[in-house]
Amino acid sequence: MSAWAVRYLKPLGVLVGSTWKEGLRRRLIIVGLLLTVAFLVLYGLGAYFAFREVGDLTEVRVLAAYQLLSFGIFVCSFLGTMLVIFSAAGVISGDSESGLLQPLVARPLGRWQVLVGKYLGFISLFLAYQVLLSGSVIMLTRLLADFSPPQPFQTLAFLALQGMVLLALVSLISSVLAPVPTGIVAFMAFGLSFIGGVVRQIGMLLSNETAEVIGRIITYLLPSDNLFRMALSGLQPPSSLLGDILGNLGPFGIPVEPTTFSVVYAIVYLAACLGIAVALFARRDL
Amino acid sequence: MLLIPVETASPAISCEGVVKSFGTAQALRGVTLRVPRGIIFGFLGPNGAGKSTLLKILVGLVRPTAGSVLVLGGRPGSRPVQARVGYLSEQFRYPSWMTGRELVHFHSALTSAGRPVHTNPTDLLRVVGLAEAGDRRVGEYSKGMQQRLGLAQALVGDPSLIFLDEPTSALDPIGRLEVRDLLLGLRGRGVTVFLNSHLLTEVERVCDHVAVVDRGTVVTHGPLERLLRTSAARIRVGHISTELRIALAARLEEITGFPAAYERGVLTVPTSAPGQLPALVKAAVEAGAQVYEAGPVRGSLEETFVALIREHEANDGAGRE
Ligand SMILES: Nc1ncnc2c1ncn2[C@@H]1O[C@H](COP(=O)(O)OP(=O)(O)O)[C@@H](O)[C@H]1O
Ligand SMILES: [Mg+2]
Repeated sequence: MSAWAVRYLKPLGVLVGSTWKEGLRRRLIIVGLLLTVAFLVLYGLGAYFAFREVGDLTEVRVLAAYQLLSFGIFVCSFLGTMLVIFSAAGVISGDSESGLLQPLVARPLGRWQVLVGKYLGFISLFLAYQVLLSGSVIMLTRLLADFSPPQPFQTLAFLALQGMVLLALVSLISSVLAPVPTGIVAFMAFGLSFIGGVVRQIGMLLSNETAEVIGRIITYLLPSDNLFRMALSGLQPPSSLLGDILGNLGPFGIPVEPTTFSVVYAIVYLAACLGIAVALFARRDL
Repeated sequence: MLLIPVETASPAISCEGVVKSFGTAQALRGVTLRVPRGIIFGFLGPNGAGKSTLLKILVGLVRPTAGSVLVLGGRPGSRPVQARVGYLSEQFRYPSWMTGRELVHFHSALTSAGRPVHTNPTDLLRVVGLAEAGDRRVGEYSKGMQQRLGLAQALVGDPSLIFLDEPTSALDPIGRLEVRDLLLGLRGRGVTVFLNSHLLTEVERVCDHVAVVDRGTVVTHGPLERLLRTSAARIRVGHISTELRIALAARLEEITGFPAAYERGVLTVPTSAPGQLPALVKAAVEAGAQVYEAGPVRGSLEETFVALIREHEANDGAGRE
């Protein structure tokens, strides 16, 4: 390894490794897997019985399958969010209060490395979990409901981006608030973003400009719901009149077509959250 | 090998007017210190005096509000300095899911980002008396074992300067003795030890230099020998008559201002000035006593410490009214 890699990358690798080890050692990973299997079994049973009944009306079948899958993906997004919030709520204030952080910071690495290393550890756990979970949901829908979403990788990519943005936000909140308030605020942010999306959707449906503007502002302040809708758009079957109507009535939101701007915006948002978190952490008294 | 362009003669630590405020409260009110290399330095003070705060500033965990600090010739918290420094925090908390050996490995891996590290975890664990417990989880350790592990952690990477914040607070007397030997061993290898403590006997036994801090200011500092100043003179006069005893006591009190005590042939005369001893002996002889033996009584660190703190708090309190 070059001196550069030893100095900058090795500590990040060490911190990622220790996050995984902790996940295994504390049985977080195994319990997570068991719960996931339980969810997948329930989802599979639902899909199996639902689609045994549906007849040959192709269009209805496709729409029903799409509704089921969007519900499944909503649960994936929700579970991924919980994982992110619970794993990272104590990343700065909590660990600094308990005294776990000080010995790390006293080592020859920059504080940004401590934070980024922990971020990478949590995000790699999250990504592995989300790919497994939402990948399985998509596969099950395909097997049991005979529905293949047009762009499953787009869905995975946006679910991943949603978790990454949320984790950056949680890291930032954690540098200001204690673990429990951090979890509560992060969860409220997730919920508010969802509500913002619904308000925007209603505004669009009813042509109410005020509602749409408010919804749009919330969407930019907290982009997680918008990312979820872009994930949904990878599942949407080719449009039809019936499909548009049903899609609009879907409980988990209308899919939003991804745009380069919204992707860039999400990445800038993520970088800004992490950047501010690093800056606050760098001047924090531990 | 790394060549560190550091003058060996430069002090291990130098602080100049270090101030630290937490909101309106001042934890440090202008601390100036110089710690030579290769010694065991004791930083003493009552609870809340600001010891841990200074230590955290020296390790780069806390930023001073004002003042300048140099550690091993560099900025505290900077990478080259951290690579040569070990730290045992007052809280000594480590991830409960790791084993002791894994913790040592983990810290060597992190330290090796700063410079090559040749740490043998087994050796380190043996040094702190955890040879058998190395594969058990930290969560199963007793407080004392966790503190020992913290010591091993602080020793990772052969630091040339090691900061210990109350390193024996959770240890039994045997453990304290072991830590004392460990510190002496470190000094023997040229390591500078900065020891925060309020355990005076511990400090008295190992420290070369001490500083006494109270309410955020250094009350006194210097070599331990100089600090343990004379607090009394002892004059052995043998058995003397009651009249002579009374006359002598009166005469000596005139000189020192303190009443003298007589017991089993020995006069003990409290004095704050060691230079008075010849005058006291002369007075005793002139009063008609035979002097067999005379010398200063060395105060313990405890007496010195208590006197210093009481004096400081009295002045400080008066000054603040
Ligand atoms: N993070 C902090 N916030 C506010 N006050 C603090 C903080 N850390 C220390 N103090 C205050 O600074 C003073 C010195 O504390 P400390 O350095 O821990 O003392 P010592 O280690 O000598 O017992 C105390 O009065 C303490 O209450
Ligand atoms: Mg303290």
